[in-house]
Formats: sequence, C-alpha cells, structure tokens
Amino acid sequence: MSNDETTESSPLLQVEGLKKYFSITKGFFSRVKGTVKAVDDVNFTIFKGENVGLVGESGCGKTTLGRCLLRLLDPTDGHINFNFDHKAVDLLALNKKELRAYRRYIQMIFQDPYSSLNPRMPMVDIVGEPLKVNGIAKGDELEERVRDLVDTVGLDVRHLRRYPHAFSGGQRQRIGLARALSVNPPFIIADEPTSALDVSVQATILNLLQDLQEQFNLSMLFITHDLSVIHHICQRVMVMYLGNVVEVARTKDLFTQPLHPYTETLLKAVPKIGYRGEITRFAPPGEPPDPANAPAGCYFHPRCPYAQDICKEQHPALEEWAEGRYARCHFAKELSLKGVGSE
Amino acid sequence: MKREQKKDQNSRRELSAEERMYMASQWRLMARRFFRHKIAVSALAVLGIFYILAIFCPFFAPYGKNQRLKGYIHAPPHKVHFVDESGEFHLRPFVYPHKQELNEETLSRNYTPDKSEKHFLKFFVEGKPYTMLGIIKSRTHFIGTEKGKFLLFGADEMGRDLFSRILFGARVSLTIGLVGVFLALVLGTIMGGISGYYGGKPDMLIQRVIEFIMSIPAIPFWMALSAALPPTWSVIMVYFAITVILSLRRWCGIARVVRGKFLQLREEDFVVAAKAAGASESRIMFVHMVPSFLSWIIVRATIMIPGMIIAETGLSFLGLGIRPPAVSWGALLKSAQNVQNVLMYPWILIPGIFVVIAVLAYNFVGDGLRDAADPYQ
Repeated sequence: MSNDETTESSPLLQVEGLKKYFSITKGFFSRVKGTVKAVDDVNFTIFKGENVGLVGESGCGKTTLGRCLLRLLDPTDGHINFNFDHKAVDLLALNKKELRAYRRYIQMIFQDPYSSLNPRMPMVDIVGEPLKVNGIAKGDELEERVRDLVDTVGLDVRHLRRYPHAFSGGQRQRIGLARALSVNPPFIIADEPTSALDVSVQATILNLLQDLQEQFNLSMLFITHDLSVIHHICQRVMVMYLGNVVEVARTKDLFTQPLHPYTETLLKAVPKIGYRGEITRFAPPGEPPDPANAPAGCYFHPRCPYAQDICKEQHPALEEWAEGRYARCHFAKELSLKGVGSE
Repeated sequence: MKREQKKDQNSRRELSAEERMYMASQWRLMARRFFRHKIAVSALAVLGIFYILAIFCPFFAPYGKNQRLKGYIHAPPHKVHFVDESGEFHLRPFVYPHKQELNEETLSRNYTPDKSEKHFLKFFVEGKPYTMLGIIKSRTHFIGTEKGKFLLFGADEMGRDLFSRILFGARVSLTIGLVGVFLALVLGTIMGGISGYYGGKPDMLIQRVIEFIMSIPAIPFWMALSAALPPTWSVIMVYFAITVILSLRRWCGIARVVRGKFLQLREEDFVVAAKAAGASESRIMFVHMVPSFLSWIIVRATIMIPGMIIAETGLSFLGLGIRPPAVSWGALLKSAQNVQNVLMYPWILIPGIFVVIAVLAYNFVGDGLRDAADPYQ
C-alpha cells in the first residue's frame, strides 16, 4: 500500500467549508419553502497521486459534491483550492472565462456510459472534443492523439469512425475514460463509473483505471456506493451521510475498525462471497431522513443503534480521533464497532 | 502486378455491411429505417407528384385558372372512353363533346354527350399561352384535345375547368403549409430555446405569453385577424398575411416542446461532459443540443403541415382566407357551401378529396419519419 507516500506528498485539492443548498420554492412568486442541504460544510484534502473514495447511500449528496468540484453546479459557499503547476487557485473565485481555462485540469467519468456519449458523434470526435475546445490540437495532430488515447484504453483504433451505438457498455465506458484522459488532467472525478456495468466488465474497467492512474500520475475522487470497489482501488475513504462527511479514514483502517456507526451499518450490508456461516440479510434500520427536514442533533440518531440523549440534541463535529482518522460521532472513542476484517 | 495492387486497394475500401452499419451516423440510420416504411415512402411519392403538378400547374392544367369556357357552365365531368358506340377499341382515349340544352321548366342546363363525334385526348397540345414560373413562355399544355373541350372534373358556375383550378389551387394550398410551418418552427425554436436555456425571468415571460395566445379560441382569433386585412391588398400580400396569421398560433406548441427538450438536454450527461471539457456555450447548444432534437423538429413539422392545410382550407371556405381571383382548395370548396349546389353539381366537392389525400399523405410521411427518428422503439 502506498499510504505512507501519499500522506507525505503535497495536497492537490483542498476543499474548505463547501456548501451547496438548494431552496425549495413553491407557488407563483417562488416563495422559499425550505432548503435542502445537499452538501453541508464539507472539508477534505486530496493529495497528488491519491485515490479517495466517497461512499454513501443514494441521495446523500455524493454526486452533488462531485459536480460542485467541477463547478457544474455553483456551490453556495466555501473554497476549493486547487494546486497545480506551482500555482494555487480558488476555483470558486474564478469567473466564467477563467473557469473555462481551468476545466481541462479536472475531468469527469460518468456513471451511465449510454447517456454520457453524444449518439450523434463518432468516437474520434467524442474523444477529441476536450482537445479541440481547449485548442490543444487540431486536424491530423488531433487524430493522432486520439489514436494514442484509444489505444491506451484498449480499444481498436480501426473503430475511430464508429458511432456510440456500435459499442458495448464496457467499450463506451472506455471511450468516456479516453475522453477524460485526453487533456492529461491531474485530477479525475469518477462518478460511479462501474455501477452501470456488469461484474466481469467492472473488474476490467477498474484494473484499467488503476493502470492508467499509475501511467498518468492521476489523483481521483471515486464516487460510489459499492464498498468492494473502494476496497479495491482507493487509499482513503470518505463516508457521507445527508450532506455531511461522517467519517474519513485510510481504507484499511475503515474496513477493519470503523469509528462511525453509519460506516458499520454500511459494512454490515456488504454481501460476502465464500462466507460459510449463517447468511443474515442486513439493511440499516429505517429510511434515510428527508434532506429538507434533517433531524435535530446528529443526523444519524434516528437509525443509530447506539444513540443516546446527547445525540438527539447536539450535532457532532468532525473530529480527528486518531492520526488521519476523522469521525462525526460523540462516541467515536467509546464504541468499538465491527468492521469486515474482524470476523 | 499493378492490377493486384488495385484490387487490394479496392478490397480495403469495400467495408463489410456490418462495418458500414457501425459507422453510420444517426441520420443515415434514420433514412434507412424510413425507406423500409412502405406506406410512408409511397405517401412521399404522392406528395412529390402533387408538388410537381403544383409547381408546373400552367403546363399540366389544360386551361387557365380563370379561363371561362363558353357553353360549359356547370358542365359535369367528361367520361373518358376507350371503346366507342360501335364497340371498337381505341388505344387513344377520347371524350364525347357535351351538348347543352336549357330545360324550359326548371331553367337548368342539361348536358348530354354527343356520341356522333369523338375528341381524342393528346399530350402536348397547343392551347392558351401562359407564363410559367415567371420566365418560361409557352402555349403547350400537357394534356388536352385539339377540337372541343376536355373537362376531367367538370366546370364551375362560370364555366371554368375544375381540374385546372385544382392544380392552380394546389400551389397555394400546398405551399401555405410549408411556409407557415417554417415560420412557426423558426419562431417556436427561438422562443423555446431562450425559455429553456436561460430559464428564470425570460422563461416566465415567454410561457405566460404562450398561455395567453393559446387561451384565445382559434377560429375567432383567425377570423378577427383575417377580417382586419385591408381589402386593397394584392393577392400575394393576402397570401403571406394568411400564413403569418396561421403560424402566429402554431409556434406556441413548438416553443413549449423545444423548451422541454432544452431543459432535459441541459441535464443530459453528454452535455455536462461537453461543459466539463470546457466547450463554449454556443458549441454546447449547436453541436450537442440542437442536433439531438433536430429530427424531432422535422417530424413535428411534417405532422403540422396538414393542420395548416386544413386551417387554410377552413378559412378560405369561410371566405376569410384566400379570396378570388386567387384560387386555393378552400376557396374552391366555398361554392360547395350551398346544399343545392352540392346536390346538383356534386363534382364541386372534388377539391375536398385532394385536401384529404394531401393531409393523409403528410400524416403517413410524418408517421414514417417519427418511427425512423425514434431509435428506441
């Protein structure tokens, strides 16, 4: 594991107090009826060459966070400090024009390989688009670079003129990958890149991602709800619940001993292959609460098996409990929660 | 040696059918699916014939559009014969001339075929001189008789040949739909695009305007507008005024759907991907968004044209659209407002048949296009 190296290397992306609130409006005059805190006061750092996983249930704000980092959505508040080429820039302070120049440094891989490729463009145009719009290459040079990229992601260069309808899901995801890599970005946000693929294809795409990461010296934010994928590919993990980051830890630590009860329930819900004991189906009790109407105190307390009185009143802060281990729980130290390795 | 090289090149150029399919753009796939739709293709052929007839109507029509034929007031259609009285077969079809008699009691004109004489139909006969498309001067007509007259669909109350008038009317009736739909599409796409892409206040304003226009009942709206046209306007000005009036209402529906398409596409992953790649707003709009619903717009336009044709026919039938001396199918049907006329001279309803055929053909073509444009069926 390359944990030690990554902690020593310099930060690439520092997110401070990132907030994205959506107001719910109603009626003819758009009166504000409430606010959804999709991303609420999120702080984290991603180091160069590091893979960070972001897990959480559907609707917890993972994708919103990813889109805020790209400024596809404009965050309500916060800072995103991006350090590249010995320059530090707050992405949120850029105007439209400056932002377009920075787009090429952060690229995205999408969840759905079917809707993320324009059905009316052949592969060569899809992969070459970032190069073209950023004025990096054109004409024959563009095609040459697209050829290289297509070859790198393991597709046949003879198929350059094919349209997306001619490719399978896995192949399409490779096209999406080639497109993201085309501008040689230091940072990639992968928004559930494997969840729309079947398991055998998932594995090949993940391996490809790992290879490319080494080859291109990429940092990645890997958004997923699949813990086994995280285990496979990420050095650190962030767990999100209802717009909050509730736990941050190295992957190994998190899997062996989680600090937040929510992480424990997530780990419990992972089905195990080769487990010979009695199979118990597990789902976290209750439904995730309505994000427009978050419970008082700790957001997780209505579903938490260890909840006490203080949890109903006080919203815990994200505190560092051990080196590199953060958790948003009043009892992170007292509870000894079960991971997957400890059975 | 050289030949072998050439052969090699050829085989490389010849892609397999499968490979061609994979390299086919959406447009080519759409065309391929459309041409598999037999009814749609035949409807397209029918429309093609109609438009050719309409464009070159002075040539195809045996007579001028306001040419009165003496002694043929309300004459019934001529029957086209191949076999004469004596049972003899003629390869060239012929008509018997009509003899007009006035019924003294009812004062109605009765026509009886005079079987003693045969008028053979001929292609490219000399007739009344005309100017076609403003430049071609000629006296040759596509079909006609050298002696006597040939009235395929009979004549109207002024002795004008209905077939010729239907062809001249097609010019107005078939193009008013095209021009009107084009105007409606341009207006609808621009307004809907602004509404959907920018949202907020412009969206609010445009949507309320649309709701207002849509809440006005169509027929009174059209009637009021066309009644307001100055009677001194020339035929061409009235024609354009009517198209504008018709499209003033139609753009609303298009604007709404275009707005919806923009809203939907704005969130589409490939548009987000283009944005993340750093593409400019105009590139996102015109390279990614518009082509995605262009096929839909074409389908929609095809389906809208018959509505326009019917609307024009309706307005002209009510006397509010195209007015004499201009002819359109609706204006021709105006004489069928009188039940007595319909009973006595049923052939004046023939323009209605043309309206039905044109509308059905457009609907079939639209159907075929829609099936072809929707790849997920």
